[in-house]
Amino acid sequence: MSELLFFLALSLALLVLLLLWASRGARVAANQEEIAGVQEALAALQLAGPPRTLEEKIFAGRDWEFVSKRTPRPIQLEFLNDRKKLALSWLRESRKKVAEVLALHRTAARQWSSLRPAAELGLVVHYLFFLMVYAILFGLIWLRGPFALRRMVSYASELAEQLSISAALLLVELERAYLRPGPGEGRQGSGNP
Amino acid sequence: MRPRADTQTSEVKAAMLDLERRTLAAIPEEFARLVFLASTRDYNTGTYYHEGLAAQFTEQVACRALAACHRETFERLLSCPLEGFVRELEAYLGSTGARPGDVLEAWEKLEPYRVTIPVDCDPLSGALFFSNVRTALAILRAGGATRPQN
Repeated sequence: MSELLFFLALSLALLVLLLLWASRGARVAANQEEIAGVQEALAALQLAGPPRTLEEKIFAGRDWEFVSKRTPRPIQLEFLNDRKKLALSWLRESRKKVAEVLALHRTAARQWSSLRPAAELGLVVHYLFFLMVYAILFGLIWLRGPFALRRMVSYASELAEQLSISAALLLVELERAYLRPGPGEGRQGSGNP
Repeated sequence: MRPRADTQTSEVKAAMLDLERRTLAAIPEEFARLVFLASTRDYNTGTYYHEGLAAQFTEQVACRALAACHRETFERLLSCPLEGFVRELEAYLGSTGARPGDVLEAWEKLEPYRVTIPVDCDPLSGALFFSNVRTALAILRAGGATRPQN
């Protein structure tokens, strides 16, 4: 029994370390201008997640406070049901957009030979962590409704945004490495797509 | 030479301002504005048309100005707390001049509010708007939302 507990604790510690490493590894050094550029590009390609104002509106407790205090029970139940569906749709949409960005990253990254394996692996672990957070959030919304989860939703949303930006920035970095002139040549040959 | 896109943008802005001052200022309720702006759109093509605005600017500029005002009005209503949203809808339904019960019934059965959203509105925003209208209609049918429930 104690051995089992020991291995469980060890696995948990390793998982935490892995996640910490992933969140550092997946981050790509970039200035605000580059991040803004990538955000614009994602929006233009319709790969940006649902707007933050929408998230605030769907998960805000203010509307529920009003409905729960000022309306009869049947309206309350219908409202809760509607908002739960909307919250789950928001989660699906948000997850779908991140998956699309990563699919684009995967397709493009396959063309380059100058990949940074640590950064790519970091991105994968970061994505797995993101999927885990979303699965937990999905279950919690299903069980408790959307109004008590404001902070967790905000965290998940930031995670999604960070992941999309990291994936896109890694591609920008790869392209830059390809375009950078090497000694005595116009372009670096090794990273050709 | 000034780029054409910039000129067009400033023209659209001027048209929006004109629309705001001459037409929308006379419509105080946000919901009524939304219905009015949606009614300037052709159901078959999705293009907006306003004779006065098109005469003063061009048809294309008028169309873009109407679309932008429509989007702005929709976004304002969508970001409004539900309590305010119910008040807006109540004020609009009251301004139609018809019997409130009849309007409520028609809105619940025919769901005319579905054609009031902008064409380029994302599906989630549309779903949130429809849900808010359904809730507001139910609240108004139940006699408003002035009394706290136990």
